[in-house]
Amino acid sequence: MKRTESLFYMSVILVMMLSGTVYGASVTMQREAGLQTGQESAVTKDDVNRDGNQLKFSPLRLKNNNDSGGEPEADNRSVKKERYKPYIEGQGEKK
Amino acid sequence: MKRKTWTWFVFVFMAAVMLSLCSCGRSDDRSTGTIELNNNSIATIDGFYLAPVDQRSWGPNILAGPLFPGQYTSIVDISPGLYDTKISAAGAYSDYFGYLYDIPIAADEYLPLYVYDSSFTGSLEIRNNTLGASIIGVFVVPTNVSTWGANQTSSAIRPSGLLHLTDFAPDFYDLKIVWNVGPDSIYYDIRIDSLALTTLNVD
Repeated sequence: MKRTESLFYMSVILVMMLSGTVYGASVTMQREAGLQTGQESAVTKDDVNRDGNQLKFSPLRLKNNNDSGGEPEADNRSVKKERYKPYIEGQGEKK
Repeated sequence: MKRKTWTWFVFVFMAAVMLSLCSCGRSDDRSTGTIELNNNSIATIDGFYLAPVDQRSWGPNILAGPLFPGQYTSIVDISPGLYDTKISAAGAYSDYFGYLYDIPIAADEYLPLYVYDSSFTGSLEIRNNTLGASIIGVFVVPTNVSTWGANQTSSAIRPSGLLHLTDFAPDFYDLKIVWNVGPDSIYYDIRIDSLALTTLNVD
């Protein structure tokens, strides 16, 4: 019984090591000055354009229009600035 | 003498008629719309882009100057039609964007648009804190999806280098880092907020 238990725990550790999953990352968030931490979260797709009668901007990008000025690129070789490529359903490797 | 005066009178009359006709033509051109852009956010808006819905590029920034928090500005002489708009703001930590699609602008319409803190996107910075490994793939997708999407980096991120990604809709994201050596690193539930830069130190 003890042997089965230890085998089970060893296999769990092995699976975790092989999958390369990291649970404790160093993450920080810097908010622009004056922004309350308890701000409202992302709007839903239904709210994209109209909230009541008010037309308000939303952070959801629904089209991929080109910028006239091009992407902002940093000069420093070690700092790269890119625009996020939004997720397309089914694209890429399975999770 | 009398005849000369009469000729002058006709000339002036004709000129007046022509001028009034010209002004009539101009009044037709004036049947355009106006947008009032209200900045109700804490960010300073430095770009406003307006493009017809079928146009593939945003075109030039049409803001004459920065629009500070609490201010508003009017954009006049907009031909009637359906438009997409984008705003941009340069913050202390990153650049942020906001979008509004399919806005119908009618002739003589005065349309107020509103910008709030939640109107803006957020940003993510990935710092390679290793001494000898390079990042060759960065995959960032919303937590609720089943695949990893596209590689977000176009070139390798060397040791001590960083990748600054902008234009995220606020949400929780899963992140996969692919190294040139060793196993992939996977991080779950990374939060990205409006007008905020999330920094992830990976090693």
